[in-house]
Amino acid sequence: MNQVMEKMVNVAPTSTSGHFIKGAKNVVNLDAINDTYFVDGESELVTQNHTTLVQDTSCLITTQVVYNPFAKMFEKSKD
Amino acid sequence: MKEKLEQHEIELMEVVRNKWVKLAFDKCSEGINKPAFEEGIAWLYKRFLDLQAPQVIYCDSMLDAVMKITLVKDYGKELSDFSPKMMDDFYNGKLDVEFVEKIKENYSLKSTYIGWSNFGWVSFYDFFTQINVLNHEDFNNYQKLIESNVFECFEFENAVFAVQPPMEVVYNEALVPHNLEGASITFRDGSDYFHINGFSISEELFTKLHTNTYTFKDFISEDNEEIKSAVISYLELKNGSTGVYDFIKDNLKEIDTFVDKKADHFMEGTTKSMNVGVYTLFKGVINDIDIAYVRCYCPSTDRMFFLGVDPVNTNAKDAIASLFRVPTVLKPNIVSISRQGEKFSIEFDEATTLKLKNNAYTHDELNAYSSVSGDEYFTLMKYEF
Repeated sequence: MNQVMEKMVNVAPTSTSGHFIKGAKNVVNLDAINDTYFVDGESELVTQNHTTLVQDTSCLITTQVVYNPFAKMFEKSKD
Repeated sequence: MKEKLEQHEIELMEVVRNKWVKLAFDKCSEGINKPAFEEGIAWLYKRFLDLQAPQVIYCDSMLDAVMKITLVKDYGKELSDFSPKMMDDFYNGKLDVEFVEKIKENYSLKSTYIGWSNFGWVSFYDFFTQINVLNHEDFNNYQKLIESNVFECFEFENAVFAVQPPMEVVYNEALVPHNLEGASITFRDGSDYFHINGFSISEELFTKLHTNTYTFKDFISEDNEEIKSAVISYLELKNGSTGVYDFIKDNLKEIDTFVDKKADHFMEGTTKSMNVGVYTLFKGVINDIDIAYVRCYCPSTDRMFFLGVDPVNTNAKDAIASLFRVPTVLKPNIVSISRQGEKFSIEFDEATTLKLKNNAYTHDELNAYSSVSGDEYFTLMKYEF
């Protein structure tokens, strides 16, 4: 039997409320700057203000970007 | 074991929920029920710590409590050494830096098991007690302590600092703090907090919105999408949909709208509002800088967002898709995309998933991103919350 992670992992550490992976076998941070994570196994993505996203397979978590017209570049979306 | 609720028990759920909401939002003006709190804390200290009932110090706010704790615990002072002027000095930045640092540290000493943050789970077991599924003496005594309406609590061996609940909470139909005309939460020491539909905003931002001095430039300079959404909510609630239009009309022109109508099963968990899946591209110029935004709505809450996109976009579908990023090396193998707020969850084919699990991609491969076209994005998209 695979061990399931008991603790939730915040995959949006710079977000005010955070987005948390719950129930995965493992969560690996692939890119700390852009907050990209590989989530091994079934999981739930949980946060305030949004419905919980049930993921029934392993997945990659990435972050939306937004365009900053003053800097003329994309940057990580913040909430 | 009870396997199914009776109709009257189903109806009782809302009654119990409302009892706890009313306790927080309506009965807060009555303050802590001191006899109930003192009886409860004496029981708790005796039952679980085998200690005498502690001295209870009632405080008007968290800052009031933490300042008194800092004086006594870290500086060996007496409670009588505290003066309300210290609160003013704190807000005006006149207190000693080291003292302020201690105050900040001491916030972490607050209890996790006494205070409003426990209302949710206690109300859950209150319901099961009321329908006779539970009857646990310790829980019943604990519930009485929580029902004394203490907002927060700091416990020490001989003393507890009990923080009074706010004097007033202004809230909306969704039962979250909300006020377009002033503070939504006010404590007894005069400290107050501002919320739009439950989202906390600074007093400075509220004042700008309330006095119509918040500018479009302020809006596009704000880098937090939730704050931008709260601003839009304020304008919409205060002045109707024309409020938002009036705010943007001098700077943004509507270019294109794309509607992604989803199958019914992908709408489960959303508001099912007509706004779900509606994306509108706006463009304009401010201070000679080209700007472009996609207006969209949160499928979970129907809040309106304006997300910055590259002005080279000519249609809403490609514009919203351009905000999705995936490592380029993985792009051909995407099976589906789902999203929750600003986070995307991407499912890949089995071989790619196995390679990710086995750490078979290089750091450089995983850190080189690209976007997808609007057609690709909406073909792959499943759930959006």
